[in-house]
Amino acid sequence: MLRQAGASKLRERIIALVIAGAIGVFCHRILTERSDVVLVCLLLFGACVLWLCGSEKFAPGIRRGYERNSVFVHLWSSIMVVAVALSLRADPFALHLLSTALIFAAVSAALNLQFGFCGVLNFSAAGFFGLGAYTAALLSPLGLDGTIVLLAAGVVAGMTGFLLALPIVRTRGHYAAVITIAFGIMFRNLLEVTDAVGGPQGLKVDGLSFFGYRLNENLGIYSCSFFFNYVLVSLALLAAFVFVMRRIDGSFVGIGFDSIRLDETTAACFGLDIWRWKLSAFTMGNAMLAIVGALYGSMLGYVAPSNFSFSDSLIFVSIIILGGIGSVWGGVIAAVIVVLLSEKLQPIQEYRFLIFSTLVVLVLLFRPQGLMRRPLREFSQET
Amino acid sequence: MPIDLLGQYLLNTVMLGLIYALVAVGFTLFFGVMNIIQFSHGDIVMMGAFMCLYLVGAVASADIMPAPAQLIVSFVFAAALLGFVGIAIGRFLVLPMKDAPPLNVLLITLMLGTIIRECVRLFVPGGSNPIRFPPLLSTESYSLGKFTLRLDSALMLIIGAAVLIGTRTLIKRTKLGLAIQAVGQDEETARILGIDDRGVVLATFAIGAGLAAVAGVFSGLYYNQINFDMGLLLGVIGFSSAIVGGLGALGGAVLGGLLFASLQTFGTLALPIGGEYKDIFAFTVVIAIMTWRPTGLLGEKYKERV
Repeated sequence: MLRQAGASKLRERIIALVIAGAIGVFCHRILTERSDVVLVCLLLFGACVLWLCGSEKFAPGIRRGYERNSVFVHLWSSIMVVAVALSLRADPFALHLLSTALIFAAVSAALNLQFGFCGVLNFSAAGFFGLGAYTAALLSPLGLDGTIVLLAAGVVAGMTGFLLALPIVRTRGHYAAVITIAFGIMFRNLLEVTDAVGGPQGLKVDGLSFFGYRLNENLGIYSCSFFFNYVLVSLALLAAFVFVMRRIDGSFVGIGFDSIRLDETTAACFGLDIWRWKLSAFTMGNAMLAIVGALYGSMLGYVAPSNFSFSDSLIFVSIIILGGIGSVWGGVIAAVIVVLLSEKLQPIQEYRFLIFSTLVVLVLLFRPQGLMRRPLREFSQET
Repeated sequence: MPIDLLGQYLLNTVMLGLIYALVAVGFTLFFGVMNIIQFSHGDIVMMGAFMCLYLVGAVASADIMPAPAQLIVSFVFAAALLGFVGIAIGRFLVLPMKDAPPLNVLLITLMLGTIIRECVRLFVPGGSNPIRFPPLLSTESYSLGKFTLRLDSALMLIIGAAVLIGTRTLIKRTKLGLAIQAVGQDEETARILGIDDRGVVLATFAIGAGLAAVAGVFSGLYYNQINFDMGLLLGVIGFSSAIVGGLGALGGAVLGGLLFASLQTFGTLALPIGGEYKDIFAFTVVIAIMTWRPTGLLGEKYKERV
């Protein structure tokens, strides 16, 4: 019996390895492809495969396999990303894309914590993201260590989010939406009219340095673009976020979030302090958004108000709806798709807001669970 | 401050407040009948302004009637067209989502707003830049010291007030209005009493969109220009006004609109840091009021029964 279980586990791991390799090759191909037509075909193919994987027929099996080998899958997907990045080391544009995709994936994880887990609406994700980037920009003349800059960005956004959360937790549902939208629009407005932060032109950001290693310099690997360093750091952040999210989801905190999202009144009747839970989800999510925002700003080398508009917040929201609200991996995959689609396919770049909002409307009408449905909690003992 | 200048500021505030109130009433109507937030409302306002602009051009080039008639025809036609847009939104996007979580309606209308905005930006010629909105009404003005009353402002004030009072009468006095209230209070009972609830919801959407057309044209006339993303800010301002006044109360929407406009004027005049921060100031105060009175100034206090 035991031996049989061991054999099936080995088989699952081999399958997972093959899949990870295939995805790696696929991503490598997409990142290096120059012809738009081939790119569209590749993306369509990928979308079909994903659609099938997310369907009711295959999803439960995939999910079971993933849950049984989660550590293995996480490890190998990280190694795969590093391998892809290494093979692209001389191509700064591809590395930049990869890093952006990882950063957006981390954003979707942070947003899922607020939106998907606790049900706190946040339509100013780009605002908090930008707050982090601006913090990094303002701190960059001081030459602080990268960890301090990232932490400072998180603290600033967490505190701002805390202030904003006071009205949000007092009001309900849709009111929170309008408060965050107002914040998002006003944030950009404030940046544009305040000369101390550069006005519409924005500010220059120096590259971060971690423990003496400067991210904007080649670390010594032959002909390696410095964007490789950003890929590594954003991968580390994403991995940390996914880890935190999975821990939260698997603990009493996640169950508390779920019950508040599903029915606030009932949750309050069972003794949950709604105010405290919502506040922690909102603050934590915003801190996470700002941390990746700081990294993003330092990767771009400059920050400007136009990078953090309300439309960008909507793109972030689209990512988690497309991926499936509350599904961490769905969000990660959707983020990669959205970044690749809008950055790699130059002809559609102008139309990206239109395309993604149309996609979201269609998804909400015809497949509200998104790419990957978030699994229901399973409390029965496996026998 | 001299009295004539004060009068001028007061007039401008009332004008702005009127535009915000027209938008806010739409939000309140949708919320009242279906308990939903129609987030694309601001962009419908923008669409109304663009539609009227092009209709005026088309009707004028056809040249078959005198100028005032042209104006009235294109105005009414724009409002009617937008009413149909409203019905389409209700029929295809909102009614099918009736059983879905309320969040989905919010998201779908938010995304619809983006679609409308982007379509205007990308596909209307010159749509990505501000477009001049011609002074359609007479711009004759009467001055008294520094106080200037333009004829078109006066006309807009009268028409706007008439539209608001008309909407109120429609809701409070007519059979359709009673049906709207009935569906808003209890949909199932309303249906049992023989009210066509879907029809009533669609009618509400048409009315709301018609009001949006009025607001859009007024905004164009007031600022003398229209822009593809004017609806975003107008929508958020209108929605905040509706909330501050109390969602579901028509009077509250008007009060909220006037309050927001006064805050903006106050921010321009009294803040030492200058007029650029007026929106930020107004929103901060409005959010503070929302924190203090979450159901708005005129809204009913809610208690939740389980």
